[in-house]
Amino acid sequence: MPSFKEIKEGLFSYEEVDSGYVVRVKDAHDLLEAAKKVRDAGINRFDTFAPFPIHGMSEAMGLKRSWLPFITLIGGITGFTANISYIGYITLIDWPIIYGGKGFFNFPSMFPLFFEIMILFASLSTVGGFMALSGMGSINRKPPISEATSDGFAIWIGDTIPESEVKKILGSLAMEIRSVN
Amino acid sequence: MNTFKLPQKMMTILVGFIGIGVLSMAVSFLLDVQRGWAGLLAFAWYLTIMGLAGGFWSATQYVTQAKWSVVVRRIPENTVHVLLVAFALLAVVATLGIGNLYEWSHADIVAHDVILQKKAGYLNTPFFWVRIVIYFAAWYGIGMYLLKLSKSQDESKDPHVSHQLLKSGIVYLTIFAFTFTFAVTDFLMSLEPHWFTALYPMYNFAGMATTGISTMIILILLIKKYGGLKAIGPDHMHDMGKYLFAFNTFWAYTVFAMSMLTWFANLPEETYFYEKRFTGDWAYFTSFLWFGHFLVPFFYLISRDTKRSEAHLMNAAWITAFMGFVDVIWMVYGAFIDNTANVAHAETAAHAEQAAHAAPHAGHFIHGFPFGFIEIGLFLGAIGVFGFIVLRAFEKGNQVPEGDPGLQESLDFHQPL
Repeated sequence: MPSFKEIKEGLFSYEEVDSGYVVRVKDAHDLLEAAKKVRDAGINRFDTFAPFPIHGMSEAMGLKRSWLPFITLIGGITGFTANISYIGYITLIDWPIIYGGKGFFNFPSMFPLFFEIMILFASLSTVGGFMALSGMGSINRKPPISEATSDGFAIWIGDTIPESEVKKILGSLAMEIRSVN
Repeated sequence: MNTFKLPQKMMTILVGFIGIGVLSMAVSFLLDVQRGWAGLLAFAWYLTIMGLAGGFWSATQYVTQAKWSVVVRRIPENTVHVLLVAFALLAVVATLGIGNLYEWSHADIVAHDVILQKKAGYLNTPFFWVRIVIYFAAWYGIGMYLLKLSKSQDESKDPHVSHQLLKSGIVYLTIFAFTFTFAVTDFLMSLEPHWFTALYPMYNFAGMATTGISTMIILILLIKKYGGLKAIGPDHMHDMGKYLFAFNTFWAYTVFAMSMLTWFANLPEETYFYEKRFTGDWAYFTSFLWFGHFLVPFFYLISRDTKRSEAHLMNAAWITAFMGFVDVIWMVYGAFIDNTANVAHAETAAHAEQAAHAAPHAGHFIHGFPFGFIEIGLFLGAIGVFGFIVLRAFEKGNQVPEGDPGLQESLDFHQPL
């Protein structure tokens, strides 16, 4: 019978941190400061780890805007046009029937259908796009420090720079520096 | 006290707008009395919805205890002052213009019309006047009470006032829901007393909210342009833009719901409302309203960058405010379309009878294209009256509610990336 710790380690086997340094910091405020300093030092390959979302972290890390709204828009447009062509094909070409004396292609009565299918496509593509963009699809991600799921805060610097450089950038913010191989 | 005064130049421009409005009204009455009365009703109703939207919007913020909107709140709260002017104008319409506008006010017509006889218990002149007074007493009274209460917090810094505002906001919203529904029925739906739909108040509510949010945005951005309201940043305006976008889409939803149900049921007593609005010149006017009110602002405001840019948001707000007035004109002027062609070409006797009912009573037609320079002048006049009154009231008090416990949270408000 494997222990709980072994099961947990087996589940989270995917190492996304493959090089550089993992630096622990004290709290969320220090993590924000650290992210700003690392970004200002011109390091592009870095990430932050915290047990909860932190306001302003996207700006501190200098993240670009997400592509998610465009994925939603394209999903919505696709759903709308696809359903118009589908209903149009059925009611005009494949099997034309007059419903309620209204003619063949009832735009007003079919519009709620177009609308709903548009919503469905848009929402499903949003969920799928979010999974893909945020990397939530890989459920076996392993945080570089296990405390990042409870009460630890860490910043990972991926560039190959000497440890003294890391100390110089972060100054007194760094509590513990671990190099990753 | 942290007040702000707009430069005199801006106020002169607003007074100029009022002048254009008065001039258009005078020209309209001189050219065509019927068009003059209908235009005055549209003008007064447009002022009413602008004045109501502020109170409604700030009441929703009290009730939901929203924190982001605290710095935005003073302009919407002050819109209640406009209701006095709207009341004065609607009182003129309801006394001097009632014969031209409301068919049910003529005893001789009601005597020959069974449907109007059945409705006379509600649609009669004395009760109409009583209802107008009740509506405006409720809207103005509670709106002023909320404004005074909110202003009293500036001095006292008492957090209990926020709770009082919450409770009064609930009362306001409940009363508002009923009075607005009845007021729409009285002022607009009874222009065509043979026609009816339960969706009409919802449609008007959506139009009221869209127009109100866009005029608030116009005033806030105007003040910001001249250096006031520094507490409001792009994050707050982004949320106002979202409100505008959402209510505008809701407006399109109600338009579609109302017309689709009428189209589907295909009852002669309902379809003439749309048939006469889709005949001749009115087909262009209706298309202009539906495309201009919904599609243009929808694709304009869909981008995040538009909502965060002051110039683009100002453009979108002007478009929706203008189309809000077109919407009111569409509802009011549509009652006075010359419908005799529809009566002549009706396929069955029942359709002809319904078309005759849908036609305005003897001689009260509005000829020509329903939207011209006169209506544009009326729109500018309404914006001038609204801006002048609200900005004058705004200049007398603090720019932001300084005693609100949520003020710091509102100042720190920030949209996620």
